[in-house]
Amino acid sequence: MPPESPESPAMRLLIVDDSNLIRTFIARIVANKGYAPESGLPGLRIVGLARTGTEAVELARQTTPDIVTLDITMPEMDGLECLDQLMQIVPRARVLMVSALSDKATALSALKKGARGFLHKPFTEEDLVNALREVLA
Amino acid sequence: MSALTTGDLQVITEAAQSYFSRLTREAARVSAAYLAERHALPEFDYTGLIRVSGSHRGCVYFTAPKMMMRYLLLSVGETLQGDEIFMDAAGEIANTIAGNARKHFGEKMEISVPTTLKGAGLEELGRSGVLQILRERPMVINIQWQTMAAALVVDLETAAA
Repeated sequence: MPPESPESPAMRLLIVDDSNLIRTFIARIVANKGYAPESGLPGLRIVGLARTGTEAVELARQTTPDIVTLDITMPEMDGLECLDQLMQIVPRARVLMVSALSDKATALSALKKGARGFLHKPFTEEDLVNALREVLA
Repeated sequence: MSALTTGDLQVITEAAQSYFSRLTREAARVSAAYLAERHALPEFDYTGLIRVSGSHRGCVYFTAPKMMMRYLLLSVGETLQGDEIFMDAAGEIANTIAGNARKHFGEKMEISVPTTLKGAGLEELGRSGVLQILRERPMVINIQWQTMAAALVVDLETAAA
């Protein structure tokens, strides 16, 4: 990953998913494409990986992310409840919901709470890059 | 209460295919769903199980051998290996397939977070009440990815009004 330059500081990304598989998949894509000029992304730096909504809230306090990828179906605190808390802690963070639950009611509920986008699982590398670009536009 | 229709099963089959082709870029071959014997359901090394409630009841579980989980994780860049990581992946696959199916069945179908297990534990899950197989002959969808075989078991019915 290229070093962050003072002229174009990277945006800080927090990845929240109870699945190691998905956290790894997103992290790998961001590592490969987060700074790639052809991706159209402004430069993304992963500042945290959270397995639960509770961890996400704590990490958001510590790292003040600019962007968050947020799963919905998680134990302890689900993604929608977590979203409410994130909007209190980091109201300017742009949240991309990443979920297999893609019904209209769930998506609308997330958008009403402040999410900027919704990415449907399963997704490809291109799907994630496009969704991040749209959320950051 | 009614069982699944051909259209319902098609949605679930497509969700399973989509998972492998989108995540790994390698399509999986998926069999037509068939009726299995309740007491001879497939069970490989790692299983992820989703319980379904609300408008429907029952369960969906994905079960796969260690080798498939190992190669699946490598395909997404995960080099760490181990039981917890394999169980997590099995749970995520089951969760995604069930979540995708919910779009077809409706938002009143509620799905649980995954229960995961290693090895032959379904019988124990049944005794503990976590797994309740409803139908005498649940549906099984065989999944072949690369040279490895896994299975998706679907035991769902509409809940009584």
